[in-house]
Amino acid sequence: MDLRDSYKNATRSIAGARMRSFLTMLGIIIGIAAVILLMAVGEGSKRNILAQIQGSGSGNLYLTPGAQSGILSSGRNRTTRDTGAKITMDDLKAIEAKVTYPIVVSPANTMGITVKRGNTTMAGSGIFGTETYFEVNNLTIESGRPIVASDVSNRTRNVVIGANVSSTLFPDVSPVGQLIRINGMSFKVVGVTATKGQSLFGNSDNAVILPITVGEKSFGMQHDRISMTTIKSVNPDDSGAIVKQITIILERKHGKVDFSVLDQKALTSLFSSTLSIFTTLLAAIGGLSLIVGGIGIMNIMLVSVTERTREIGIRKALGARERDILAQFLIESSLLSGIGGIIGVVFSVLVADLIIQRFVPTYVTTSSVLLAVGFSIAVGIFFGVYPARKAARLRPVEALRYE
Amino acid sequence: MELIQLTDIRKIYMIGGVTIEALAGVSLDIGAQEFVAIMGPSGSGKSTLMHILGCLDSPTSGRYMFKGRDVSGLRSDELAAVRNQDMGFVFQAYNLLPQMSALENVMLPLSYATKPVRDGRRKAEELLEHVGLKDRMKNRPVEMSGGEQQRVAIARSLMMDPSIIMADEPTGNLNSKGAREVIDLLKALHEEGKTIIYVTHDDNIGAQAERVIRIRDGLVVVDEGD
Repeated sequence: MDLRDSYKNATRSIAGARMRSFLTMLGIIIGIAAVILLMAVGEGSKRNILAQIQGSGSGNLYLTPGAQSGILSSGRNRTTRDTGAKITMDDLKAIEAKVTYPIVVSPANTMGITVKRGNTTMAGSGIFGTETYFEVNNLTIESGRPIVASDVSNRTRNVVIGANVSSTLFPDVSPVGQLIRINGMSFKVVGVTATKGQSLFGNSDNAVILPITVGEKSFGMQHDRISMTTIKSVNPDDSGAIVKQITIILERKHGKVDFSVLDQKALTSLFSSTLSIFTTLLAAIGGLSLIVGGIGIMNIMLVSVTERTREIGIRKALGARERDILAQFLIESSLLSGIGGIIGVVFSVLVADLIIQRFVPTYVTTSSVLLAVGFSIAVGIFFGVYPARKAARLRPVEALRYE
Repeated sequence: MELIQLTDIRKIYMIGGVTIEALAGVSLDIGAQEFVAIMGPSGSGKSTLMHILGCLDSPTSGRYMFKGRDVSGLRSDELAAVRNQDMGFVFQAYNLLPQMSALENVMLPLSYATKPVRDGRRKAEELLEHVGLKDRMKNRPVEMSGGEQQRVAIARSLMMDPSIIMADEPTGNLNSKGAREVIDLLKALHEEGKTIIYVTHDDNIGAQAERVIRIRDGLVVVDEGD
């Protein structure tokens, strides 16, 4: 039997039971959509985060306490209380003194804070930093002035607020020179930062930047522990060498490697590999639903074989060999899953671009589409083999006798 | 040389642990261009004999020589090729595929032809014309009477120019007019030189044949050809 005949037979049989074929395909459509959409979300998040790393300044290095053992344990939220590992101002002074390349060091601690002016209250993040914070993080001042060295050394209660904090608390007047209350204490706004948007370590638009020395004095932060230090390499090409120098300096000083220092490249590969695992996991979850869809195909093909036992008998009487019957049912099952797969691809690309894109970043890769369609056809063949073999092996006499 | 030579053919079924001997040693010869009726009461083994003659089933023991070739031990795909090339089947229940038109049904054996057939479509049209269904080619089986469906089935059985037409109770589902038409058609085909073997339990229908073989309890009891 030639392929065109088989194809025509299969389409006719699929079209002959429209509702049933559609419901069977629905299992595959949902499975394919699950694979593509979950991969699109995974890939979208990955690209988003990597873009943020790229945008965070190409020469920046990140120094955190505690030896690096993976992305989940080395972020800004790491508490060092348990391990005793810490980075102190003295460590940073040693780095500034001994690193032979031009660098700018910016220590910072963060905590959640409540900001209030009059009757308006908002939650934000408090960043306790120094005068170098703005340069290292590419923050520009929209109005007023930044935190300066004297604010840090004098522990003055001067703060710089983010664009969103400014627009929320000061919708009508210029905030510069005004007083706000942070966690119940009074502070003076000396400047406002320009809008920057989401970056790797938070959103500076929702932040209030305070002198680092105020944290310990007024917010109960631990003495001389710096949770996140950003070190800017003035010449980005030096960053690799600087990482080595800092490692040597601190290891000698601490007697062990109880810190981690990552440059952008290391950070990118660290995030990239972790996020790829995440995307693969999501695809695997989607793949499970595709297998469920495949079982649906097997189910409906078994029903179809039983219903068409007599047809199989007739075809065999007219000279159909086992492989002809096998091909007929396999083509039908793979066509069901293939069409379902293509509908699933179109549907999920539309949903990803038109709907999900509004809430989370998505990115549909060509490879995910090819993987999904290939997998769906494979599912159709795999789950079609058993029913097709059952049909092919029917004895003509028994098949003809079937009512 | 005879077209068909059966030697001591036995067919034994196992149904629920009980063995049933449907054919208990049948030996008979059928020559080319014969017009044969196989008759017997239900359960006599006449349908089983028909299935073995038509290569739809294999005997448990015995030898079946078809056109001088032993077909008793052939594999299922080899039997399929024999059926496609040499056997034309007509069944009691017509056995047309409901989703296909009359023309497509007649052309169906072409799908399984082991060698290419030229002008298959034109040949199918000519066959349908020959059985008097020139105007019904595009109709589906449900749109046709029983007699018309059976004539489509006869046209289909002729598609590959088989050596033999095998008809299993071809008039069993038909009224007397339809039955008459079908028998006349088979007779006409016989006069054109076709070998025809049909099974029936109806004495009137059986009487139309030139040779009647009567089966009872899996054995040939009367064979007018001897």
